[in-house]
Amino acid sequence: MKKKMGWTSLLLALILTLSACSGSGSNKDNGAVNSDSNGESSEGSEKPYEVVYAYPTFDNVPVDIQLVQDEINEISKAKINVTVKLMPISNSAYGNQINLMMSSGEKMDMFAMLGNYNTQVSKGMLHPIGDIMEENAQGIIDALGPDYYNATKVDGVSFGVPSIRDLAQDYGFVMRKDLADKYSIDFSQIKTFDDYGKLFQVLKSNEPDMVSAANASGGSILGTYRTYDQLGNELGVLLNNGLDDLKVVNWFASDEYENMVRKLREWYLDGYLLKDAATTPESTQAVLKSGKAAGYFSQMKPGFESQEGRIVGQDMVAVRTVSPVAKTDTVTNVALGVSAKSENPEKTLQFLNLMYTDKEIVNLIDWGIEGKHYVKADGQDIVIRYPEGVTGDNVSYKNYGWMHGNQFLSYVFEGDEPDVYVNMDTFNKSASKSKALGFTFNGDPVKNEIAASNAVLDQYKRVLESGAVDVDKVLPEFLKKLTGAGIDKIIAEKQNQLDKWAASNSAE
Amino acid sequence: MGLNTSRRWNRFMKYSPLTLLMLPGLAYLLINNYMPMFGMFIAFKNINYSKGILGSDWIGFKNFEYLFKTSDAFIITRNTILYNATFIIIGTILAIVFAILLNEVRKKVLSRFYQSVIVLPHLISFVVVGYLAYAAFSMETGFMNKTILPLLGIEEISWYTEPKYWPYILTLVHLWKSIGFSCIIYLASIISIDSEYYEAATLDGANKWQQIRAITIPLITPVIVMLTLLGIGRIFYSDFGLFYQVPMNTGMIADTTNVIDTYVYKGLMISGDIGMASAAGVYQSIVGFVLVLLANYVVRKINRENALF
Amino acid sequence: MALENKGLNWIANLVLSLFAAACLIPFALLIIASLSSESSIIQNGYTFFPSEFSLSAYDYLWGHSIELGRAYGITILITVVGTAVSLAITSALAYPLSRRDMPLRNFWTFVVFFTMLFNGGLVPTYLVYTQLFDIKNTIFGLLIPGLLMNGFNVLLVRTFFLTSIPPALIEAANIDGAGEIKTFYKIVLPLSLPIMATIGLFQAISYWNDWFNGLIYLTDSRLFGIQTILTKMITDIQFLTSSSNAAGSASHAAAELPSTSVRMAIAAIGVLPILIAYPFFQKYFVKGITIGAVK
Repeated sequence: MKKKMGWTSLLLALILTLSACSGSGSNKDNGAVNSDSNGESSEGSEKPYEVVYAYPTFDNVPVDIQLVQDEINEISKAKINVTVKLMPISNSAYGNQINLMMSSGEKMDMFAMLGNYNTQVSKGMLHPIGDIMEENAQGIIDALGPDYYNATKVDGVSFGVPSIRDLAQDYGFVMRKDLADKYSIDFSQIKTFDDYGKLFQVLKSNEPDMVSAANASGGSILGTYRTYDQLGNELGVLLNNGLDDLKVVNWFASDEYENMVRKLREWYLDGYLLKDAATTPESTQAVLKSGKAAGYFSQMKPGFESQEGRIVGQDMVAVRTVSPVAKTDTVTNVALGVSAKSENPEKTLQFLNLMYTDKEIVNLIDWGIEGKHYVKADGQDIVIRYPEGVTGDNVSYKNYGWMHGNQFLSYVFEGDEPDVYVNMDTFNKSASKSKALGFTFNGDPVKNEIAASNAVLDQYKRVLESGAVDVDKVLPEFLKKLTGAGIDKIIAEKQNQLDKWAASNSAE
Repeated sequence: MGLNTSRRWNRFMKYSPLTLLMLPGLAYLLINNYMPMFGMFIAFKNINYSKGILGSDWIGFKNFEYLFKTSDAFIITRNTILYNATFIIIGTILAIVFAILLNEVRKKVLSRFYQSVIVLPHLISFVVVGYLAYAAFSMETGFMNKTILPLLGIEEISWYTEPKYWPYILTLVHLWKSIGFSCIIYLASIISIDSEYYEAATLDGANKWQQIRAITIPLITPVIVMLTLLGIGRIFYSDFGLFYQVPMNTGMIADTTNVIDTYVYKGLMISGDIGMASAAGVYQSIVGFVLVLLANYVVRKINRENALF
Repeated sequence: MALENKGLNWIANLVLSLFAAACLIPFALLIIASLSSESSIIQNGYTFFPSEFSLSAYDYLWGHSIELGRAYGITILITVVGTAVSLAITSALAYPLSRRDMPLRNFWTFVVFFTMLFNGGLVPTYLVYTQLFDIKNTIFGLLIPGLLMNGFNVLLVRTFFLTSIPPALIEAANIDGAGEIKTFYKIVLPLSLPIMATIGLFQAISYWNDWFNGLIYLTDSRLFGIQTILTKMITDIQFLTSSSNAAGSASHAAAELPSTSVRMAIAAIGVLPILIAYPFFQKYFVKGITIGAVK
């Protein structure tokens, strides 16, 4: 009996798995696809191809999403005979859903990636779209410019495209303007990381109840302030943002890192930082709003001060100590890709092309329908605001412009500088470029080491960079554990891949 | 021969109604548990979505390596086992004590009040429990540092950087959250004990304590054994919320708060590798399985009736 | 004798009221925090006497009232239907396993127990349910996967039947000519109200508290239950307030969230309804069912 039971369940499971794998080919939505691939010639009368577009959302699904989608489809059907189905997925489930949909072969053509372009490439989730793009969707490449387009290539082929927004970053410290004015702080005096100490001292002596630098929950005081090219995952980096050479080093063992955490420790002991920095459950902006802190370190971009000022509810002023630089990670940070399981990558890409070239489509996705979800500000061409009676809380459609295609085609919301995107474009073009811009690390050969090292980072990085612990004791322990987890193997692998990439690059 | 088959037939007919009763439940287990179990092979594959799950390459035990790669492998295994063992022992004892006490409360209103209130912690998610713990242990605004310690004349303590306090804190939080739940289970078995037993004992002059020892405890032993065996089977698993949210994922106290589940989560958070996640599950299940077979064997040796199978 | 009983009653009340306080105080703190203003929490931490009260958290939730109302409806439906079906199939499976004369009893018990140790993990389970049964984006996605029945409850009920239902009683019923199934629901079940109420409560809680199925088996947010929405809100806030996310730009959306107090308010509105439903289960915790009388 026991044996029999075992066999039946095995058999059932086998059938099941087979059906699961063939499932991708026998799905309901097939009709459209087949007719499409057979009848490429009979365009016009044929059924439009439906592109399912999945992306994460941090808010409730907007009420009017269907209306907006219909408007988009009207345009895209006329132009390229494609319709789109927007599929916003709660960010808390997004990673899981993409994995699950990819393994079950559910219909999904295109999806957004936040910070995991390289792992999605190495997991085989993406269709290599480079060739199609170069032939049929030149609009995307033109919009991106050759440098940034090349940054998406893995082994010579592009697997996805970044949304067009701030593709480079500069780094610095942003703080309340009223405090800076009151104590007439001279920002030109602050040139290096160490110089912040002087600023903090002034603040502390005048506002003893306030700390100088806050940090977000889950983040360290340094936050996203970076002076190195992280090459995908911070395990093995290029110093000085990759502007000097292609030598991969262990950032956490560098003198620069040691100096930074020692400074942070000093500042912590002097009371410049939150005592609870390593555990705070609040966002930096909320801490500033409450008057508990004066500012914070961050990555930056043009218009950063006014963006943060709006969130904090006060005027902000920023000092930048690392000049703008573009790295693979700052480019592919937010990217769109075509699913490896897509039945029609060509059609999908045609739609993607519209997201980079068609002003109407971009604004429909980003802002919704004119007159209903936004109106043009008086006498303005590109500046918009909410209609009477509508606020950010009750507007029935909203979305994230920085995620969907070419944000530079999008309207500017009242309150931002009207030329913010022009400035950002200049910023992108003028930023210096890491020597490794365009190198995408494939972590697959060392995935065990990466998992073990990430667990170590999670344990030490935040406490060290919050000044909460004794550097002399904890830093060596941290490095020892990293070595134990195999960081050297990761660095060697990275260096190897990087050298190969550099060689093939110069050959081209 | 013919007699034999007909006897079998009779036996089958006799038990067919009972078998029928079992069918819906067994069918559900087949679908919900046994069919997906086949998918454990994912643990031995390097999943590449363009090749499909079946088409991905076999890589043997490579997905398991990261579990042992870290120098902390010993610490996280030790923590997992020690915490679970503590929880099983203290949790069981306290739950039984509370259940017996609840059964002794005379006023019905009070008894009902206690019953509702003690399951309250079970209903609050660990994310929120984490914030409540933070309310107590925060360095700057925490209740402990601002109110309790000054009263006792002790200097403030940086709770989130001192590993030595956390075994106590986590055990307390766990008990606080789970006692009500297991207490209710024991209470249900205690109140179903035939009151004739107690009446007879009272007539014989046995006092309460003797009654508890001689009647209550032996009669709920099967439940105790069952719950303990289940606890042992899951000894390599840990309550992720407790160990991740309550210590606010702070590195400095990892020596006493890091367990297998939190390690796996931290390691795979970025890559989301389903092969490696599956490997951790297989590892935890197999260890638990072996331990539970052993424990059940021991129980069987002592008292056949109490063994689970 | 009476004195001794009284003493025990006193000790019981003392211990239990202390523990009840330990359970209630944090909950009270949570409610107060949900009513405190955001900056008073950040400045002074959680306290019973916040410097400034504010209803902004509930205002925020009120802004989502249509969605939350529908979600409550779905969750109540799921909880009621799920608990009823679950009680039926759990007890039906447990009863034969409790019968000492049942053939292959140990084997089937093991089959049940085994499911508690091993599971296929998320992806295979998802494949079974979506490919074979096609329950994605249906209400069954909330009802069936993982929750409908679990080995733990089956074994609990089995153990209860084993210890509390005298075999003589069943034999007597059989001799009287009652069939097995009739014996089960006419005699065994009525004697088992405490355990039925217990697992009914457990099931109701796990249906009520479940948010995971919603996030896995639904992409259509109109079917989300209350806990799925609340969990989603909490994790979204957590994501938006942390700077460690790869896309720094996401913090745009954090703009006006009263994050801390909202988290507390969410916890409060998630718990209260089940507290209200609790007395319903307590009714069945009747002490002193005299089985002897039936004998």
